[in-house]
Amino acid sequence: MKRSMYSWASLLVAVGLLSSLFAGTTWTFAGTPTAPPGAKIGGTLTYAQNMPLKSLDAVNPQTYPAGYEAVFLLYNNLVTYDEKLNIQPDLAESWTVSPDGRRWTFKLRKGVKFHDGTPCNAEAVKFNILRIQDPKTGSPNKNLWDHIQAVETPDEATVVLVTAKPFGAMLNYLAHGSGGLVSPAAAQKWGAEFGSHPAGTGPYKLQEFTPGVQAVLVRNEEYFKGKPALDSVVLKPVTEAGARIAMLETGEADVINDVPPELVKRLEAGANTKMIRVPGLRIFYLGLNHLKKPFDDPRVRQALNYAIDKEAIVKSLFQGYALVLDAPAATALAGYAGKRYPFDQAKAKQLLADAGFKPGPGGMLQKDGVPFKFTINTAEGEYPKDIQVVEAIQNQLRQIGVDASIWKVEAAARWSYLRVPPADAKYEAWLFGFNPSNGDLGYHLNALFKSNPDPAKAPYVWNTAWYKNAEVDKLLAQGEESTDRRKRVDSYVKAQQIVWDDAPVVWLYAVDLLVGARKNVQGATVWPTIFTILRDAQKQ
Amino acid sequence: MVKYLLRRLLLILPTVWIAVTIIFVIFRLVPGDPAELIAGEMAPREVVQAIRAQMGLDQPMHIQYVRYLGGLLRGDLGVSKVYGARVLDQLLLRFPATLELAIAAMLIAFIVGLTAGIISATRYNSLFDYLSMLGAIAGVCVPAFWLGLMLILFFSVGLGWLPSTGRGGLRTLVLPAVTLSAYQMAVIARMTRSSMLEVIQQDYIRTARAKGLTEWAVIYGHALKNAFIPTVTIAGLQFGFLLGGSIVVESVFAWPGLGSLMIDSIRHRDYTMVQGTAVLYTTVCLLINLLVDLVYSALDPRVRYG
Repeated sequence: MKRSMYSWASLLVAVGLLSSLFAGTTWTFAGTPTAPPGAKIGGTLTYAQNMPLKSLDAVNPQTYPAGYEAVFLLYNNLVTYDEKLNIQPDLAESWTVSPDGRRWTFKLRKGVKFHDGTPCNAEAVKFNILRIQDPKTGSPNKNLWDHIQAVETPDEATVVLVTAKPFGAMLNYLAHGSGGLVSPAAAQKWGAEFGSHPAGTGPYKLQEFTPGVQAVLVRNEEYFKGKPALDSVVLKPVTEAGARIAMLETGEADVINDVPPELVKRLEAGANTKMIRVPGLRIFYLGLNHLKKPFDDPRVRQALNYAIDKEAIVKSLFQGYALVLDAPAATALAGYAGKRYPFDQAKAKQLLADAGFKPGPGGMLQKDGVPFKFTINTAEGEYPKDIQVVEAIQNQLRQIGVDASIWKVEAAARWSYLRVPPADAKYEAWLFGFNPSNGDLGYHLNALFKSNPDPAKAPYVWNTAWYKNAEVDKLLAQGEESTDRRKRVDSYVKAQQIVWDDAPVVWLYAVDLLVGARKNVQGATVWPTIFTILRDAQKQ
Repeated sequence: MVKYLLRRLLLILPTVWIAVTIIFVIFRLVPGDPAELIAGEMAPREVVQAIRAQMGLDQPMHIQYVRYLGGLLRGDLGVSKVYGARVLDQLLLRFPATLELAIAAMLIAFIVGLTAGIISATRYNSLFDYLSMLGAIAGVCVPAFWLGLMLILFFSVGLGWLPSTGRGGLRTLVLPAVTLSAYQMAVIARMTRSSMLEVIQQDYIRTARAKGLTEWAVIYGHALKNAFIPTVTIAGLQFGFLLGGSIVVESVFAWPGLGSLMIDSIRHRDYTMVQGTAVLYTTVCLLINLLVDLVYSALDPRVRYG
């Protein structure tokens, strides 16, 4: 039943996307979904998360991904995703975009109320957008909402979002976790403490919350999509992976996230446990600072790409639960399949020789008497297997005569080293992971590869490599402004091909999202954007 | 005695002040900007600035310091921006869990460690002595997280006798308390054994035996009291360690105590929360030291405070 519902929904999405080729068209999704027939009602589902929950405010849930996973249970957006990241209606029933691509009109579902009884209408939507745009709210995702220049509310059930320029990624941005609509009355009542007293429209509402210890959510009987299956959902932080596994095996937890790759087989073989495995959008690379020699030379950067055996890293450290990158974005997002940089030490050496490096004492490379030496900035435990990966890279580079040393810093301090103006930048190379949490390719590429606007200031977002390519910038701008999906993807594919060949960084891999569940849990899904979604979960 | 007590209690104030000052300064010197960490990796500058202003971090350090001390004198530990909650409330919420775990671990360590130590000393060089001292070495050497996971694997996953994680009643307390007690147990056992061995060689013990007392009366009535003093000293010091050192155990058993709160706050550069925990830990450690000193005088009439 579930499957047929999804294929029905994807068919609608496909129709929607096709019709979007003609600007000014309406997307309409008829019918109000309800809990799937035959769903078992009742039970408590315990989800052991790898991070503590601190705040349940949609605009700033603090811990990632734990915070947004709670947010997706408590709130609804105007539009949302399905597990393939196709856009689905949520609080908006239908929407249209004007021919110039600047006015988005949303028709809201009628009669929906927040958990505190406040009506969820056009004014509430406007309140929410102004709230996140206010710097005082302190939302880390304010920049996702700054594209909206004005919010018009012609009537109770209609919202018009106006952008300065045509903005093709609008729906993806609206579906981001920070777009969960909060009750204006509750937000005003609780102010800074709203994070402990959330009120949304979601399938579950808060019963009890001790930050960092536990959140108990109970069924929202009035849920507009039909009665949710579970009586309650308990979210608990269990930071130790071994303890999460034990909880799943004993049945103390029904779902756990962040399963270490080496324990996947154990849960797959377990009598009562199963694995949900989804290729993630989070990509990892070894950044190279183009402002430091010799990383300004593309031949050197390409050489390092050939010198690293990515397949071996994926196989030995991630037990195969990761994909070697073949584009600047993860395969599920990139929109095209590129060509990998194969592991080829001879080619790497040749490229370095072309760049002027010659073997010196002990076979280590040098140019004009200066040895090829640099540091790799990394933390331990910030990313999966980070230190082991950097050590593997260090060993492989040594084999071609490059001397890399590890500069280990505390995870909390890392941004202070990387996001600084060029004059203060001491870093040469660094391990980095980036997750486009709204599932938008443009967002991903802009954050990492768009030229920084001011060479005297800290990088605009995460282009800490200081990569600069005018052609890429042009293509990214074109993609962003196009509301025609096909044209957007075209621009982004072209931009990616240029970025890929420029090799601004050493491309590594995208890790799989590994979530464990009890066999009797149905309907728990994992979005490629890292979040475990329990909205439709039930226990058989 | 009362004067002594008052003096010791008053001394807590300057000590806490020094501890807080050190934490305050050092924490602001290490790299890592709390406003940036709260705002998140994608946050635009103006959001970071707004958060910095809300936290008072846009002021010079000495102003922040005076404001913080002023709050402290009024009993106000400040607000954690990360949790969006008052620091004192969070500490009071978490401290009972840590205290409960530490007391349970100390009790287990005392009962088992003391018994093993006494028996080992009285049956010096016996099989029991060898085995218990071997166990003590293991207790000191085995890392807590490994022991914790093994206990979970055996008693929760394997036998299904006890819950693996969480806090709620005696059943959930057993595994974390045993894990946490292992090290202290070993230290207390070795300490008791060696001080006991020293005491039972003394003349007054020989006298006690000579006047025909039972072995039980000799050991418990005469030897133990004197052998107890070094053990109490160690136990007192270790209790402070248990309060602060339960972090690993808390994380293995998802025990909602102060340790995990503190580590997490350090990671997020949650200044007010870390300062608050420092105030609490320093006060508690000083109080325990005071208590240990008072226990001395109860155990040994030669120790008098005035």
